[in-house]
Formats: sequence, structure tokens, C-alpha cells
Amino acid sequence: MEKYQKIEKLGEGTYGIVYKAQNRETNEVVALKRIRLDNEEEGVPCTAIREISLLKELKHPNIVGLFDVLHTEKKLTLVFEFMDSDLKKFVDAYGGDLDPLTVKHLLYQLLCGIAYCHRNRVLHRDLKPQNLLINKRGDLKLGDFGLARAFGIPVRSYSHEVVTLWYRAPDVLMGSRQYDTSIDIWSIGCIFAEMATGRPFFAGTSIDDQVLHIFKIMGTPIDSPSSDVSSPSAQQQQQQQNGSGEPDYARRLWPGCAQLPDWKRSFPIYPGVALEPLLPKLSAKGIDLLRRLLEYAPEKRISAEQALSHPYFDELRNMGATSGGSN
Amino acid sequence: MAANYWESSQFQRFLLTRYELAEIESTHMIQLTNHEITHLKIYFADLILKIGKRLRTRQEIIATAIVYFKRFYINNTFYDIDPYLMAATCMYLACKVEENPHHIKHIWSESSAMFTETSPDIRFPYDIPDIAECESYLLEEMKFYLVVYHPYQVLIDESIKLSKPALQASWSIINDSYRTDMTLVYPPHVIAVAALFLSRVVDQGNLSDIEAQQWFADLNVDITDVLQVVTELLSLYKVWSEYDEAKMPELVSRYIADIAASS
Ligand SMILES: Nc1ncnc2c1ncn2[C@@H]1O[C@H](COP(=O)(O)OP(=O)(O)OP(=O)(O)O)[C@@H](O)[C@H]1O
Ligand SMILES: [Mg+2]
Repeated sequence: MEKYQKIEKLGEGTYGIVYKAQNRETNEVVALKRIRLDNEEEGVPCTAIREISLLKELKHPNIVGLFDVLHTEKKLTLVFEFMDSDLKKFVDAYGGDLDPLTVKHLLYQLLCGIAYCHRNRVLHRDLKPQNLLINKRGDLKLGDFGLARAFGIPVRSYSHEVVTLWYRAPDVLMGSRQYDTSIDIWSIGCIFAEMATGRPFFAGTSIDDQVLHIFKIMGTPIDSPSSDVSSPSAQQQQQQQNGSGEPDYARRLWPGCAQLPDWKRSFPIYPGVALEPLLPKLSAKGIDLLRRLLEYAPEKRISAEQALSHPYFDELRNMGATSGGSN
Repeated sequence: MAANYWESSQFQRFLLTRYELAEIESTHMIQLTNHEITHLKIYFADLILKIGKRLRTRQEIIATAIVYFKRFYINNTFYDIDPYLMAATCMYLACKVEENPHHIKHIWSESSAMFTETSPDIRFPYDIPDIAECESYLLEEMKFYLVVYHPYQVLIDESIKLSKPALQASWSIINDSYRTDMTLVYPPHVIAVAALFLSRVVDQGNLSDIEAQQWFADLNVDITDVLQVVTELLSLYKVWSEYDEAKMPELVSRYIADIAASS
């Protein structure tokens, strides 16, 4: 007899089906991720190996617990702590209208979880609402480490197609292969905005379209004038900014962006738009944090650790609500 | 890295004391002399290294594969699973874990070719599904704890700025350390420091590898802590000088036959 009794199907992923199930002996409710091993020629899939090996080492209140791995000839079953929902379903259940304090709580936990990963030299690489699990108590936990990897040294180029387009950092979209923890931070910025509006923030349909979605809102990035004086776009930009005194110029500065493999001189030039009207639910502090998460230059993008001490979270600290998973 | 090592499964589950290791050896390897035991360790580390070289994988991946091999044979003998099959399988799994996967077919063909090249006395009558099956025994044995820390990372890490020759010398001493079981007993940074210590000694004298090995063998260092590792490395170099790969396939067969007879 099987140890777990299936209750219902929770989701279907790229490499398996996720079920809600109950331990027949202890009655504990768990989530089972079943991975079929029908390909006798290739052993256990690489994504499963990665997910298991990392979750076996990462133990944190904001990371989904892996209780057990059941291994038979035909399938591999990962036994996870059960979570009631994921962030996508959760936002949909509220009709896209989360209250601002909930958004703040969720973002804080997301940052705690990723700060822990980054301290342990693990990149998630696939942060998106469907991969963030939520339970009835409002705990948020990172799930789906199938694409995560421990970033060792030496840095070499990672496989290219990893982060789902909407949450993918602009440096990765434009062909950078030397990515690091900053790619997760960009995704978190996108998720933050999505929680605040109820809709994906940059919803592109292809790589080029995704880049343009980002540029339209954040402004087309400008390479630093000193390193690329001759670029017509940089000169044009400077004139524009001198003429109008446009404050967004500094935010669009991204030294070296024109050197990215897929940078195009023909990119249309957008000045960017004010974020406040797009995100009426966010306070000035919230907007400031979002800007730092969505910073163009990867090396200037805020770290998870720094983001946790941003004034946006002062409200939680005053409520004494930040102890949960900060360490 | 170091802070994280203390939370790792490698530290919490797999680290043995020297006494535990000696106990394991005395139950598994009763039929062998100490020299033979050391020679077997050198032999299989070398074979895994040779597979890795053929696949052109990074040194850390080779080291991970060697650690898997050692972990597997803590609770199993060469009679339970053929060590040649296990060597190929460890390389296969390590490549996946370190995100440098190779097709199982490729691992199989490179391993068989390497065994054939090494000695006509090595029998490798296995096929691709055997590696897949063997992988499942290996995963079970390690309870799916697959992340391994290595002294290399300690050397590369921020704080120590080494000259190129010093780095190379320490690096190759760390390579040598996988021919012993010290990776099961000491944390990576202890081994790294010991390697660094020895490399400093070589660096000064401009010695060739063979001279260095001999010199390590003659050098009678006996300080504390880290120096236990240094001592073990030195004794490795000594036993290694008597090592003859050509005799190993026969030793493996004899050893497996002995276990079979006694069980
Ligand atoms: N522990 C859990 N508790 C409750 N639901 C879960 C749990 N784990 C996963 N799910 C649900 O199953 C879905 C798929 O899980 P997961 O993302 O881990 O699988 P996947 O195969 O990697 O998917 P993909 O690669 O397509 O994102 C999740 O989006 C979530 O809705
Ligand atoms: Mg998923």
C-alpha cells in the first residue's frame, strides 16, 4: 500500500504533476511532485537533481520544505510541505486587489527567502508568482528550484533560456551571460509591481517585445557618456535632458549597456513614465524601493539584504512583524 | 562559504571521525594490507579523474564524483556493486549536480574506452541502463544529499590572494588529497590550509613535481591540527611512490573474490 493517499491535483509543471496528498499513518497533509522516469536511457532528470540537491541543503521559513524523496523504478516523488496556494492563484482570488499591507508582508518574506539563497550562493533564476507558495497563515515560501543553481566560481556562462520572459532582467534579455544574484532581484521587482496592480508589469510576448515593454515604462537606457561619447543616442539623450531638465535621465543611465550582445542602435528612445500613477497603491517609499529593484545596471541593483532594511518595511518593523523569517 | 559549510549535509551527515573511518576500513578491508588499501584509493581516484579528463570537466566536478564514490563504499563493498560501474556512475551524477550534464551514452562510451585503454584486465560488461540503475542505488545511499564542498573553493575565495605558482601548487596538492579519504574526515578549509602550507614549502625551492613528491615524503612535519592533514598527505606521497597501476585490476579482482568467499 502506498504511504500517501492522493487527494487532488494541484498543478502541472514542465516535468511533473503536483498533488495534494495525505500520509496514511500520520494524517499529515503534504504536496507530492511526481516525476516520471520513463526515459530509461537518461537516469533522473537534471532539473529534479538540481531541485532536490539544493532543497536538501536550504532550510529556511521562507523556502518550501522538502520532507522526503521516494524513489521507485518508474517514478520519483518529492514530498513537500503543503501550501494552500501560489501567489498567482492568491492574487487572482482577490481579483487582483491585495491590500497594501499584505503586499508589504509578502514582499518582505520573498526578500527574506531570496536573501537566504543568495547568502548560500544559490540563484533561483525562475522567480514568478506561480513558483511562490502561500499558505492560509499568509506565509510565503519559495518553491520550484528546478532551474536554481549554486553559483560557484569560476563564473562561466549559464544556459540561456531560464527566467520566464515577464520576469527576466534586461541584461539577460539583451544577451548577457554573466548574470548573478541581480537577476533574481529584477524578478522580485516585477513581482512587487504585479502584487500592487494585480497585473503583470512588463508583459512582453517575445524577447524584443519584452525589452520594449520595459523601455516604455522605465525609459530606454543610456550608456554612460564617458564610455560611449560617440554614440549618437547618448548625445541625443544628453541634449534632451539638458533641454527639458528631465529627471529620469539619471535613472536611465546604464554604463556599458550598448556593449551588451543584443543591444541595438535602432532601439526606439522612450523617456520613460512616472511610476506613481501606474502604482497608486504604493507609497513614496514603496515606489523608491521598486525603482531600486528595477535598477537597470545589474551591479547597481539593490541586494536582497539591503532591500530588507529599506524604509518601506519600517511599518512592519514597528508592528514587530519582521521576525518571522529574517534569518 | 565557511558559515554555510557548517549547516551543510556534508558537515552534519557525512563527516566521519578518523576512528569511525578506521573502523569501517577494518570491517570492509580486513583482507588487505594498509598499502593495498591506499593503492586502491589512488587507483579509483585516478580512474574517475581519467573519465573527467576525457569529458573535459572541471576539477571540482571530478572531486565531487570521487566523494560520491567514497560515500557509497562506506556502507557497501566492492562485491555489492562493481566499483568500475560505480566510478562511471559517480561521474555521471556529479556532472548533473554541478550543472554540466553529459548524455549517459557519452559517459558510458568514454568510461568503457578509458577502462580498455587503462588495462585489458578491466572488465566492464555494462550497458547504458546499468548506469541509470546504478545511479538510483547511489542516490538512495546518499539519501539524495548531493552538494559537496571542496577545498578549491576555499583557495579561490576572496581573502587569500595567492601568487599564480602558489595557487597552482596548492591546487595540485588538493587534487592529490582526493587519493586519500581525508575529504570524509576534515572540513574543506582544513585541507586547503594544509595544501597551502605544503605549497609554500615547494614554492621556495623551485622543485619539479617528482622532486617535490620525494621531498614531501622525506619531510617529517609534525605540528598540530592542520598538520594532521599534512601528515596524511605526506604518507600518501610515500605510498604513492610504490604504486603500480598495472597491478591494480588483479588486486581488485582478488579483493572482490575474497569478500565473496567470506560472505
Ligand atoms: N508544496 C506545494 N503546496 C501546494 N501547491 C504546490 C506546492 N508545490 C507546487 N505547487 C503547485 O504546483 C504548481 C507547479 O509546481 P512547480 O512550479 O514546483 O512545478 P514545475 O513542474 O517546476 O512547474 P514549472 O516548471 O512549469 O514552473 C505550482 O505553481 C503550485 O501551484
Ligand atoms: Mg513552476
